[in-house]
Order: sequence, then structure tokens, then C-alpha cells
Amino acid sequence: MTDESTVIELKNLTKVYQNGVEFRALDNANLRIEKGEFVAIVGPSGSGKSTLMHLIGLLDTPSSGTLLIDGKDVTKMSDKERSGMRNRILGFVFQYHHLLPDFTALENVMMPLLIAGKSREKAKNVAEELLEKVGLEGRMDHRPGELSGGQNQRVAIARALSCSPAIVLGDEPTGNLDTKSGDMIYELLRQLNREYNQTFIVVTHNDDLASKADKIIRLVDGKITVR
Amino acid sequence: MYELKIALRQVLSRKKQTLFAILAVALAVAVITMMMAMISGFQDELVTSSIENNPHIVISPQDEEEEVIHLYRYTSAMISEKEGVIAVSPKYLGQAALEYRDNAEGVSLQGVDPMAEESVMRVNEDVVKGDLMTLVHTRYGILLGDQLAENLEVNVGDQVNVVFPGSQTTSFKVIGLIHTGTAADEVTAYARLDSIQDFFNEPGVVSTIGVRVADPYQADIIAGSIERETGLDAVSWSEANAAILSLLESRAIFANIFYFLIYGIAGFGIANTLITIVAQRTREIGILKAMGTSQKSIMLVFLFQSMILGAAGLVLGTILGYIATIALQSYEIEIPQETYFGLQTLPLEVEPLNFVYAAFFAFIVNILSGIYPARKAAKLDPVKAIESA
Ligand SMILES: Nc1ncnc2c1ncn2[C@@H]1O[C@H](COP(=O)(O)OP(=O)(O)OP(=O)(O)O)[C@@H](O)[C@H]1O
Ligand SMILES: [Mg+2]
Repeated sequence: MTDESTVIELKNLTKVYQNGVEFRALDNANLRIEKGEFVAIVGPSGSGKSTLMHLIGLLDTPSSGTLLIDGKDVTKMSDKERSGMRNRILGFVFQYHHLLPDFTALENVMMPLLIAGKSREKAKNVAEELLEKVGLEGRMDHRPGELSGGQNQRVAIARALSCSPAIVLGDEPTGNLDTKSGDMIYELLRQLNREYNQTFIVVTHNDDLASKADKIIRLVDGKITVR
Repeated sequence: MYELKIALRQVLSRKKQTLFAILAVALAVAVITMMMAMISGFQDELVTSSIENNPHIVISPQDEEEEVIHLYRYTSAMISEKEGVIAVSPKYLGQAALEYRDNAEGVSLQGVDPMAEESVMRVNEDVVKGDLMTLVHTRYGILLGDQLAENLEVNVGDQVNVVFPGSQTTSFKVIGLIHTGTAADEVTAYARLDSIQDFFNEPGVVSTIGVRVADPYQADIIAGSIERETGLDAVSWSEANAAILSLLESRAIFANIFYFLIYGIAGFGIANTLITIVAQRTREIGILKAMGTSQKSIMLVFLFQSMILGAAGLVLGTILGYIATIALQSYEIEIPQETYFGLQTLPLEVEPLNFVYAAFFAFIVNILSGIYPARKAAKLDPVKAIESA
């Protein structure tokens, strides 16, 4: 049974890597995440945090089990449907900013909107508004090579939010930053979460930051230990 | 069309790579347009020269045992009345020997009516000394191929003896020299029809009748109607040159294989460039996928890139090809005369349609060579792509 408020549901979700030896990176994960929750995922290195994020972010496919997003079984979807969901329902922030190097900050934030088929004008308005929100109003026409790590990471967050996704995923979004900028970005995410009631799932090694989340999920050897 | 925007941006950000890919296509297109100009120029030249240097229709006796045409005056008059016929020239052909002092050469004697022959064959265009028309009032005059005259060591004004077993040896005065640039210059001699008929003791008959028509492309039809009406054998220039024309056709097949290979090489060049671009852009492809770009759109991004490279290449290539063709045309390359039917320069024909063909196929090749790299990009695993350095 999935009720209205559940956005993500994992049922025995498993990811097995098979290069010679079988390796269970995610082992029978069962989990339910509610709409508007801010979830922190913690665990030692190699415990399967990124694997879980990639599965939820539809960047990877599970070996077995089911994954429901908005009540729909995404494991049975075509590439077109999955890419459509990545575009409109999911926003991904990586540890490294992963911006397109040939495009300016503004163009990078506009890109998901253009992919969604929005007009240039509409995309530009939304992107400008978001860049202002992350404090980059003066840096919109700079390319990633001309911005600092923290600035690029903020552009990446603006990009992840541009299509107003229901779910924002962050895989150590502050991992590459100093504590101060890290805290700032974390604060920004928390603030956006409260403001727009979007669901946030963030991987972090920082227990301090994790403690501020609504829910903490601990992974050990591919298994969810605390819910 | 954000796919096009991304494609453009990626193409423009790698200027050197882009330039070399464009040059590869451009060179292929340029070489092919030049080849096409040569081949169609050659073909045109060949057709023109067979039309100019031969009678459009040659009429000969019908059966094998009959060697001559009787009543040729009546037949000639009848043919010249036909629609589309400009001129008719009866001709007596005979083999004999020419003697001058101690030299002797075998010749192919052509007994002609100078006026008629000039109208059909434009002989005077090849006459380098003297004039064919002098024959009109020179009963025993003769024009020789310049090579023949050289071999006999005779000059204009000298008397040569024409010798044939059973014929009265007759002295002719050399009144002109002919240069066609072909092997015929070694054996040809023109004299008056009546003199040659008398020499061979065959008054009142000829060997062939040459016909010139207004439209050479009607020659086949006119030849057919002459055959029906006279019962004689009439062969048009295109029928006579069927072997050469079909040779040209088979050359065209080889040319096409050659084009195919050049396009293949250019295609692999494009494919290689795109594979490199895909490899360099792997991480960006992953990012685009994470943002929700579908496989189809990723394919489009790279197909657009190959189209951009291809379009730029073929525009540059047709321009290069055109300039090179024009330059070669005015340069007049000397080619061995005997091998190429008396052509003195490399004939090049700038045929607009050829440029369209070359460009069209280059574009097709481009799209085809873009498909593999584009598919490869589309199928990339997003996680692996993003994590790649
Ligand atoms: N493509 C792969 N092939 C084989 N094994 C893999 C592959 N990707 C990940 N793994 C393994 O799966 C396990 C989980 O990896 P994952 O990246 O999810 O860990 P993580 O919790 O994100 O670690 P970290 O905190 O260091 O980022 C690791 O042991 C890793 O070696
Ligand atoms: Mg990780």
C-alpha cells in the first residue's frame, strides 16, 4: 500500500556488480520517503550510498527489486519515460559540480528547462531567479572555468532546481567545499526544502549536518541499518 | 532545438579538430568534382570530335560482294533532298603506293568532290598548307597528310607518282598538307574524285557517301530512313563509335568505384573525429543524461555535429573544386596526342549538376558516418559517463 504522501518507495531493491566476483553494492533495501522530507544518507565509504542515489535518480538500473517514484514502477520504464522523469521530477547535485564547460552559468541552469521544451524566454526568467536565490546574480555570464568551486556548486544547485523537481538528490553536494561554504550550501538546501516542500535526499559524511535532517538513513555494506 | 545549440557549441569549442574534419570532407568533395569535370569534359570532347571529324552518316554498299555504289549521283541527289541533311559527299577510296624519288609509301587515296567533301568534313580546318579548294581546278593535284609528306620527303609543288598494279602510273602535284594530329596523317591523301576513278578504272562508282546532318542527335533516325529508301548500308556516328562510347561507360563505373572509395575515406575521417569528440565529451554526455536528455536527443546532438562538419566541408569542397577546375581548364595540360584521339588539352567541363551530386553524396556519407558515434554516445551508461574523468 502506498499512500498519497509517499514519493519514493524501495522494495527489496538490490544492485549486484558482477566483474568476475559477485558484489552486492545494495542489498535488499526497503525504504519509504515522504513528500517534503529532508533525508540524510550516511555510512562509511563503499557502503553503497552513491549506488542508492543513482538508482533513485534513474541513472542506474537495479539488479532486482522495485522502485516506485510517485507510485509508478520506474524499473519497467523506457528510456524516453525515464529521461522525462529525470528532467521533470528529479534534480541531481553531484559531489563535483558537473556543469557543461562550454556554457555560461545562466545557460547551464536554463538547460534542463530547454530540454523540457520550455521557451528560451521562460527558461531565462526561471534561471535568473534561481541564480539570484543562490547569490550569483553578478556571475550569470561566467563559464564554470571562471567561477570558484563553491560558486559552481551553487550553479549546480540552481540547475537541479530549475524544473521545480519533486525530488532533489545530492550526493555529497558539499563534500568538495570548505566547512564554511559547505554549511552555507547545506543551509540553502534546507531553506529551499522548507520553502517549496520539495523532497531532499542528501548523502553526507558530516554527522553535524545529518543531525539536522528529518530522517537519517545509515548504510553499512549495502544494507540499510537505521531507518 | 537545444540539441542543435549544444552541437554548435561543441563544434565551435574545438576549432582545430573541427577544421581538420571540415578539410577532410572538403578535399574529398573537391577531388570528386574535379574528377567529374574531367570525365564529363572528356566525354563531351569525344562526342564533339566524332561529330566534327567524321561524317555524321556513312553510306556504304549493302552486301559483302558488292564493293562499290553505282548510280551514286542519283543516290546523292536523293539523299541531299532529305529533311535534316545539310551536305552529301560521295567518295572513292583506294589503296595505292606513292613514290617520290627513292621513297615509296602506302596510302589510302580519297577521291572526293572538294566542295562536297568540305561541306561534310570541314577538311580545310586541318589543311596546314595549301587549300582543298585548289583541287577544283587542278585535275591532278593531291593533298597529303603532313606525316606522309615528311616520310616521302616531298614538299608542296613536287610531283609524286601514284602506283597501283594494273593501273597506269599517274603523276600528281602536291598542292597541300593536312594535319589532324592523328595516325591518319601518315596514310591519307586527297585527290579529285574523277582522277581517282579514272586511275582505278572505275568511272561512275564510289566506295562511300558521307552525309552531314543539321542535328547530329538525329543522325540515327536519318540513317535508318536512308537505309530503307536506298537499300544501302547507312551507319551513323554514334553507331560507328558505339565501342568507344561503351568504353566511356565502363570507365564511368571505375570512376564511381573511385568516388565510393574517396567518400569512404572521408566518411571514416568524420566518424573518427566524432568518435574522438564522443570520447572527449563522455562526462558531458552523462551530465546531459542526468538532466533528462533522452537517448534520441543525444543521438541528435552528435548527428547535428556531423551535419555541421559535413555541410561546412561540402560548401568549402565545392568552392575548392570549382576553383581548381577553372584553374586547370585555363592551364592547358599537354597530353600525348595519339592516345587521346587528337585532343590537345585536358578537356574539363564545369557541370553544375555534378557539384550537386558530389555535395549530395558527401552529405549522405556524413550522416551515415555520424550514426555509429552518435549511437555510441546515446548508449553510454550515465553513471559511468559522469564518473569518467
Ligand atoms: N561499476 C562498479 N563495478 C563494480 N563495483 C562497483 C561499481 N560501482 C561501485 N562499486 C562498488 O560498490 C560499492 C558501493 O559503492 P558506492 O559508490 O555506492 O559507495 P559510497 O557509499 O558512495 O562510497 P563513498 O562514500 O566513498 O562515495 C563499493 O564497494 C564500490 O567499489
Ligand atoms: Mg559515493
